[in-house]
Amino acid sequence: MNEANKSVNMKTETPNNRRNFLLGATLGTAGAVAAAVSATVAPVVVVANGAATPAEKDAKKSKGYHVTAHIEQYYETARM
Amino acid sequence: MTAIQAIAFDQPRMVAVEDQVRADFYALLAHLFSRAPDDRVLQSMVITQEPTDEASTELTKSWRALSAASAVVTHDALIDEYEAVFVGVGRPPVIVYGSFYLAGFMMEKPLAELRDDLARMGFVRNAEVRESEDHLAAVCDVMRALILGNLADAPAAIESQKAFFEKHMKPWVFKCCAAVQGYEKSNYYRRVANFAEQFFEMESQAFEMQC
Repeated sequence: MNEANKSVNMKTETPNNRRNFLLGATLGTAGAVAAAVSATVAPVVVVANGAATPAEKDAKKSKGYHVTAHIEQYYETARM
Repeated sequence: MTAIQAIAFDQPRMVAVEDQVRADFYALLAHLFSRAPDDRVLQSMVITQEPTDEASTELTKSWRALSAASAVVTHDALIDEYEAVFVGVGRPPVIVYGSFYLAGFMMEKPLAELRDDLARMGFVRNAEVRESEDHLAAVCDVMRALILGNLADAPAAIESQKAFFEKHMKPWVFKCCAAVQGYEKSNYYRRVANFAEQFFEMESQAFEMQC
């Protein structure tokens, strides 16, 4: 392949070609059905962009030791 | 894998049709590899329309096979199959963690590198998740997140998607899919793995076109 042909081939591999390739590969059935399925299933993300998990948020709210009703009840039952 | 808890995106962004399809496939694969799909999901996967002549790619053929299997299998049967293929007694018969395929052992250096890259990209581990980040379902879901972005972050550039796929998925996901398809107790999941293989192949080819 000479340099001119290389240049032509490189030009044809544009994002539009990628787009056409992806659309063609998924043409027919899979895309629409996958979208329907995707809408019904919960993501299984183990991680998320910059989003603190509920557990992390709770941890940030923690202000260290403090007396709760449960602890007070424990002290009552443990009193000699 | 019930311990995996979702962090849903608050507000989906507008993305190109083909990227939405890719994200949907990644979401679907993440779901299927994380747990046995329930009857509702199975029903959604059943193709109702007749296939067209145009839809003759390997990806679509594998999808049709998966769809056909989804029409006849039950959630209860898949719970048993999932346990038999991915859980087992002691060592899982088929391992779906990247570190195993890349380093020969689970929880090895490739996992550490993946964690570094996830942290660099701003991902935070869900504390309630048992599985390590190199689980096939997890990396699929990371790809979904990269493609769609979320309220705080725009979709990742194709170059970033490609970099993640080629470093953390391409070197092992095909071996993993082959392992699933080669395991004798794999039936429905043989089709899932075949579909995943074809999808990953499509992704691999598409990334070569883009960058």
